[in-house]
Amino acid sequence: MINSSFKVLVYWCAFALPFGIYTLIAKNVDFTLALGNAYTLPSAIARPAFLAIVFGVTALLVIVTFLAKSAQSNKR
Amino acid sequence: MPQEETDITVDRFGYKQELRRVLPLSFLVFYGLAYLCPVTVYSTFGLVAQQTHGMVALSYIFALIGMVFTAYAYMRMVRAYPIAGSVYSYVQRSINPHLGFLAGWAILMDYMLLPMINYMLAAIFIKPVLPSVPAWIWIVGLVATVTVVNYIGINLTAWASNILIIIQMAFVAAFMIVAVYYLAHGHGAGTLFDIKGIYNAAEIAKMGWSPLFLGASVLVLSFLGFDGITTVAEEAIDPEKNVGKAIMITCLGAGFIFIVVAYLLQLAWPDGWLHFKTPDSGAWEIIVRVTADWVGVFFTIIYVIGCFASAMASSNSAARLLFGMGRDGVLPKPFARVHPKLKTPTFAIIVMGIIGLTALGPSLALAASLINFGALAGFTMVNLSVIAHYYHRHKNVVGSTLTNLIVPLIGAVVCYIIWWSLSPASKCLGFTWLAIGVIMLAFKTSYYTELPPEMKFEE
Repeated sequence: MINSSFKVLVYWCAFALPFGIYTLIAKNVDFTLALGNAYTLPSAIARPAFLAIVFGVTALLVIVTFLAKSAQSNKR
Repeated sequence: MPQEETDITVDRFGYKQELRRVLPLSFLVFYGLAYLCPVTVYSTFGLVAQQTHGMVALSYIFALIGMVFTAYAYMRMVRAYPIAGSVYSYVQRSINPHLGFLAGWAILMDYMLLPMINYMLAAIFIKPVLPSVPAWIWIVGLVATVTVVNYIGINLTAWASNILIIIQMAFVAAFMIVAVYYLAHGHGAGTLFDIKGIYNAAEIAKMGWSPLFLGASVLVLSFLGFDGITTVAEEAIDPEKNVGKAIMITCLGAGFIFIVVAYLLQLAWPDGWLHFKTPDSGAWEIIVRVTADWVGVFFTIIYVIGCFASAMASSNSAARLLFGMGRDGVLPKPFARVHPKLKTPTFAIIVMGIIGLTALGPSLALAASLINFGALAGFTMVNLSVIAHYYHRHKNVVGSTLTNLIVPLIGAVVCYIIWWSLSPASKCLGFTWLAIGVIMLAFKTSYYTELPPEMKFEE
């Protein structure tokens, strides 16, 4: 199933990674999130949380793809 | 009432025909228009008029061109897969089952939250008319009504949509007649034909073209909803032909209405964009100027009707998407439950009602952000599905390189560019939702080493 995890990785990278990199570079972008009528998540928390999600999921998918490839090679 | 047909089934996709197949082409178009909410043109006019220096109609033309590519992609995919899962089914079957889940997961956000935003908007609009009634009473009342109508059956939903759309169209037509009369009698621009209602060379020389494209990225969201027709494919008569036609008619028809209304609003008050008290009420200020103060109250009522119709159609569509995912075992099995007599996915409809009640909590901006993110991510994937299905897998057996590769590629690029222009907050929240989907899918399929349940069954 290397094909599937690789495709999910490509999908994730095509959508999430460019914006993740942009967020990393452009430090002045405002990420303040209005979560409710009375509650707002400040940019100082939202920005690092978002970067952790983007790069964390990318790392997870790279590892899964790599492990699937190794398992496939061992089978052969 | 259209006669029920039982000759067309979904057997070839490994499913049983469980929903009631009763919707003809005209009902599908009305359903799409109800979902899309034609009076939405009035809510975005003021904001975009200020952005584009009075060239809203031109921005609508750009937005329509962008959306027609995606409407065409939906038309092609529904011919290949006339089943209820929409984007989820198309990507799952044409590209990859895991990606299908993620595309469905992304657009699920759009479908699940659109009813909620409609409940919120209806409550906001009705508040000034009846200030003594608290907003939560309106929200609970609207959620209960929509849930009951959708629970009873697709026939009732379709008829209710038809009536509500006729009321909205009557208002739009009445406005057009009054505006034409107003212009013909020398008011506003004083003429019915003025290129400045669409294109103003002097303003473009000052500001360039980019505000027009920015305006188009806002206006494109007025078109969200034509895709909802695909979710009732299993209830449509002759879905391979009619659903695709209905999508194209809805997209082009709505685009035509938006362009004409924006043109007339612009001519009725040519430099109005410089004088609006607030951008959100720009169209309302023009309507009151062209007609009378009391029409403003009537306009509010029409807007509430539009929100109600859109909530009904979008809630119904979301229930069909949940039903499709439940039937495939991607979501818990109760989502696939169909009422034996009413032939509606009752559990999914009730869940949508409960989600609708959350309109009492989150902010409008949050819900709108998530809707836009999900819709545009889904639209991009539908365009790519056409390439995967018709160009890559079937090697142009149906269509040509132009229709199977170039047109959907343009559609995907347009959607991707608009998606990129969404606010950082939209993307932040959207990716958080998508990350939840990636992790959930990883656990469900043993880190992508197993196929999702439905594909196992087929193979």
